[in-house]
Amino acid sequence: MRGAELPQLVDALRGPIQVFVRESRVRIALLVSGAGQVLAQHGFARGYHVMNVASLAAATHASSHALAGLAGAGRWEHLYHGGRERQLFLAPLRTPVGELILVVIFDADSSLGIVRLFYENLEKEVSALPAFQDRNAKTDHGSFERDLEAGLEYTSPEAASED
Amino acid sequence: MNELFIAAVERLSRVAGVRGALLVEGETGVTVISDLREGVNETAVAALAASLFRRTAAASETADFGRLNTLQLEADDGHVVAVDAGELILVVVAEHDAQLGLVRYEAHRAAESLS
Amino acid sequence: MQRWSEEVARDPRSLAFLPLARAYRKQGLRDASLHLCLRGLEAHPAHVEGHGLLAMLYLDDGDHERAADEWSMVLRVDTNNFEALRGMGFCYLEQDRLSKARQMLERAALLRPSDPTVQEALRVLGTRQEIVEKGLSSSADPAFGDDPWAVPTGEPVFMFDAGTEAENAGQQASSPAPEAMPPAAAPVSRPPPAVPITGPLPLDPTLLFDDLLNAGPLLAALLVDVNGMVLAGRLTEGVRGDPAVLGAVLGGAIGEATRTAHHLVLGVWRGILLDSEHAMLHLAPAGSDAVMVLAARRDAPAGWVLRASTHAVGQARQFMEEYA
Repeated sequence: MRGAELPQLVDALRGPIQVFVRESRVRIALLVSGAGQVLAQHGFARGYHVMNVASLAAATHASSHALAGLAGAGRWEHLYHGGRERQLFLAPLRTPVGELILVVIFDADSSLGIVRLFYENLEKEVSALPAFQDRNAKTDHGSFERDLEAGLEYTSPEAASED
Repeated sequence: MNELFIAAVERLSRVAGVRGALLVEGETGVTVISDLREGVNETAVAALAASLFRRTAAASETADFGRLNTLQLEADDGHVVAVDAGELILVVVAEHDAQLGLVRYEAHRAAESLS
Repeated sequence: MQRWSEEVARDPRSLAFLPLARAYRKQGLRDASLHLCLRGLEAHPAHVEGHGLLAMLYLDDGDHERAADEWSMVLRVDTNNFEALRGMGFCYLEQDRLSKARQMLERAALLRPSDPTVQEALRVLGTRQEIVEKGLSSSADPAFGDDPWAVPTGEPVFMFDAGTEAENAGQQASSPAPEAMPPAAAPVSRPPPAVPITGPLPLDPTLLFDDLLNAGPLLAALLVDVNGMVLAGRLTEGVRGDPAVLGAVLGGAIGEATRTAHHLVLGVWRGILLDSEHAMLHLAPAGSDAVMVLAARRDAPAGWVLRASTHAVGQARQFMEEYA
């Protein structure tokens, strides 16, 4: 998938993520690139510093990945932080064009179990998307980042202008 | 304690018409111990049953009906029975034609043995 | 209770005296409840609910005169207080002051036309007036004996239930009810009809489920839409609370039940039976966009509640079709 096709990627993910947000009753779900750029946001984003959340999530993702490697734990499945009012769930979302990060913030309307359940469903749906079936899944990380840069202006002009 | 949990869940799973039983953490909806027949989605049962229990329990308290003890979801193709076991919830998935009275009785007994 | 108790201890003028006194009464601590209530009314002499509770406490003792005094206090402040009108009506009936009794009971009936106790009292009143008109003394009527509160054998009982006053919300009173009145647990549970009653619907939607509400151990029967708004039904007399709140909090369970049944591949959900500390509740879908909520006393047989729910759902569907 080339940069020009990034809008299609984000478009293709929009439906499944909307279902995820609706079914799991989370407050917000962000789809973030490894570089910390917001590709899509769903739910009640107001009140959150979305760009900051995305950057920190990407950093956490990278450090967890490294830590998992050092500890011999392999690929990490998800990270969960249970606060009193809000809870945070971070999980890698594999797409045929590379790994994205799903950042979820939820409160008592949902639960870790519910978020995990619908995240599993999301993963399955994403991997079965027709838009990904005919794609070459062997895009390397570097080219993926370049693609993202190229497509960012389309998907999130605000994010692109902040960088 | 762990053995007690296992024994309670296993005993329940042996009741006629029961497709499985599990102990779930009430707050998170995550499984503690389970004994389920093949084909029953553990993550889904734990998360959804706990969520339904929590929501209806909150409604019961708000409406001044007090603490929720037992929930029974009746559906065309099966039933879910969830019993308060302190911070845990004991969940039973049963066939549509299961003897619900017996399932409820055994679930209560199991929950009592845990508290 | 501890919170209320601390509050009253800290501030004797606190309005927490009322819930605390109610709780004491519920636990059978009659003297403590009376003491607290009297003290609270010293500080708040026009407190309607305080006088109402005091009336119930006197009634618990069989002291109808004092109970009537308290209800008359209530009516001075709140001329349309149903409990007080009903209570006064019963007291006048007891004293054979039949025209006064009719006055009170008819006002009570205007406020709650379906209240079975008022209807029954009016019926008894009619019988007595007939006897008087025939030149017979009502006290000579062996059916009533010396105690006009007593219910003659074979007569439907008065359901004037000291134990189901507002605060009890489905719990039985632990203090004994007056001898001539049925205890809280006594209401007869007639099995609900197996099929919905068809026929004209009541104009007032709150009365839609009155055949069920008047028959058994139900505390509430409400038809609620997907947004938690009450479409029809009501709480029974003496049950505290706001039907709108009950509808709203339980209506929220519809989506949860649908989601659970769907993701667990259980097909369409048919009902949720909730066994709570003070009540048994049943929720059942009534069409695609409404749910039937029944609340019954804690000791109600689960099977009865399930059948009552089936019956109510039938009525609800008829109602929805009619007013769609």
